[in-house]
Amino acid sequence: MSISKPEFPASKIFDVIKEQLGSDEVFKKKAIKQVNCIVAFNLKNKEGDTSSWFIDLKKSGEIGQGATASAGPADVSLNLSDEHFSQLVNGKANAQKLFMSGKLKVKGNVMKAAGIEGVLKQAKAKL
Amino acid sequence: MSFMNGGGGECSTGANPLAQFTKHSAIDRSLQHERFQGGSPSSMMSMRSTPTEMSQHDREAMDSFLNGGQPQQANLGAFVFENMHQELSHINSHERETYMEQHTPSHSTEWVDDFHGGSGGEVANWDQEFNRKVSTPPLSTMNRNSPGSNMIMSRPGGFGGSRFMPSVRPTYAGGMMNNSGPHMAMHTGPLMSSSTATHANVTEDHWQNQFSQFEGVDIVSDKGKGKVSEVETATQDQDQGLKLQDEEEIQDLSDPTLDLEDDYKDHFDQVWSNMKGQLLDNIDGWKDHDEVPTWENTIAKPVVGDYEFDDTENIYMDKPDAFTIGCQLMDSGAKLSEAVLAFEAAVQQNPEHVEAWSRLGAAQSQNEKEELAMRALEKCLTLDPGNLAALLNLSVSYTNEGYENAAYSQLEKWISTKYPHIVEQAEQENKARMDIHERVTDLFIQAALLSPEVANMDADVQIGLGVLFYGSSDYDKAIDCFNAALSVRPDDPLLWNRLGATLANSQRSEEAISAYYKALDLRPSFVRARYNLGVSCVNIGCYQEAVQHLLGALSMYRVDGLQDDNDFQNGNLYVTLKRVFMAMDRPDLVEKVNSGADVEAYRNEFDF
Repeated sequence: MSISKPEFPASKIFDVIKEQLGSDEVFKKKAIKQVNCIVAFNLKNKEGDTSSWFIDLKKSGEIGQGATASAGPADVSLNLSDEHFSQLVNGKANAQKLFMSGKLKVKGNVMKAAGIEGVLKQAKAKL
Repeated sequence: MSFMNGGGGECSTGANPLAQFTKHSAIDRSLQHERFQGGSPSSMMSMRSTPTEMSQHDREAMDSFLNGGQPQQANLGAFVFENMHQELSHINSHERETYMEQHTPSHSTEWVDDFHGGSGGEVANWDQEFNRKVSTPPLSTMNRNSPGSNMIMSRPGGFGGSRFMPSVRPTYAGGMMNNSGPHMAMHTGPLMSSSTATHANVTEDHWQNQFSQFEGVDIVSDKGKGKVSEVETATQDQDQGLKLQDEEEIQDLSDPTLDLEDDYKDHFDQVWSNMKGQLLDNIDGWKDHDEVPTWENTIAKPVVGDYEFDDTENIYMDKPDAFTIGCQLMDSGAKLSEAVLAFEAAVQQNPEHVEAWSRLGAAQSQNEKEELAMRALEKCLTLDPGNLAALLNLSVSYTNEGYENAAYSQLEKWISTKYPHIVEQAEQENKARMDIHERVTDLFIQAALLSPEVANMDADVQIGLGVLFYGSSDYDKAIDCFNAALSVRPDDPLLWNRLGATLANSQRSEEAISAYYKALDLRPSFVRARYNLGVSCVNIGCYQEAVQHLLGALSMYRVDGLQDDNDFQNGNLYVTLKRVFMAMDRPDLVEKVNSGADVEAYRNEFDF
């Protein structure tokens, strides 16, 4: 039931999020509250191929391949390379820096895109 | 923290005899700029960076130069007065000529008076204005970099940034504004105003006040400026035009392909983090934008509810001195879950026991159970709104959960309880309208200034400042604060963990790990530090070690004779653990977690 693609190493995170959305009700509620829209990721790998994933964090918590959720098209699309996506997920880069340097393109409401970062990387050190 | 920024003040006019001179040349240059296409600003820059101290000899040389005489000595070190002198006298004579020719006598005399006033050391129109701005207390430079303050100061600050030197003091640039050309206005106009527009109305007010203030000043100095006023009228017109343009710019900002220059990056960073911090906290509030938001109603607070006790039997329930037992357990380094049980028993025996609630909250947050910690601390504060430890701990918990503004308001309560005179003083200065982060940071800086010596420094003030800077992602400053606090309390495991977490979040995982180890040396049962250690190991790709630390932390939840699997699936630790297993490509282990396997079940594969 893997939704990641081996040609896109960073897409593994979608499996992780899928697992979490499926098994952790608290996480799902929190994520929906935080993001509150359908987000699409258009990743480009080293070979120049592109592939899309969506997360419906508006209602259902559905996640899968493709740019359109069953509930409809995405409210926000994030376009970036697989490599930069991996950096984003691993906390080596942050969305606003990628956005500023043009490595992350956002179609739709940027404000909504800011919330998704918190879902992608949850393991944050605590004071 | 307080000693870091001493330098700013002396660099301004007060101690520096050359400052007068710098201003002098600045005035000339701007006029020349309108007329002659200007020279390079490099000569000014070298003047700005001159040392504070000036020998008597140099002072004489400069005096004689300013009075029109020859420099006493050809070699004056770093200051090449020859060129400046020629330039200046050239401007001097030329300007006087043109003004005499072109303007009515009254205007020109005024202007010349002004001019002489400046050179003669007397404080004239411009000087007054300039000095007034510079006389802001030096230490306020400290929070210049915080987002809020930059919002307010942004316009003049942006000037300096784009035109002269990146870190020019905004006050100085503010003085420059009156006689600056239209280019500068265009440089800063769009981005700054869009930032303010997206910010709350409060800042907008500040901005407009400041803007109109500058306009007012323009009119005053126009009297003496003659021809320059024409240019300024043009500038104002242009500004009006820019205002319209600004609105388009705001729209543009949501265009992802917008390519912004590096110059604007810092400003944008601040705007972004502000938006994230304030708007995301309260997206609902943002929708009802019609009413002017006061800070009190924009502060989003997590709804946590009442503290829930475990159903399991509590072995301390029958002990009359459960609170004392809890304190002893904490001191002796026992498992935090045990201490938690003792404190839970204490508050169940006596629900009004403020200190027990406070300690329970502190223990739960160290035990990596933030939600329960917040519930206990809020309960504590309903009983005793001025409980300092609970206020500080709750602000930390809110920060961890991403409710920065709620955290700041707790810190404000903390400081007004502990240092009421500072808050009173600030209220008199009418700072209430400032952005909450800036306002509270200001209060904490004032408090830190009370005792700058390490010997009697209040470590809690440094912690508060650290949390404030952490909340605004000023991690380097936060690290300084926690280090300062550690110089007072080197044996506080909480502080080491806070330092570590700040380092980790500023991408310094390796340094963070050594800070966590320090915390764990001091308190081996510190679950949060162990969890953080695991997170840092994940971040540097050491999955095996990460699993060991996470399992080690989980094993701390096991208390003899008790099964604590209440939040088996939901806890932060399990979520992170599953994530690491996914990263290791071990779905079988994820399954194992989901099936609710005991921590001991991993012993065959992991050493913890």
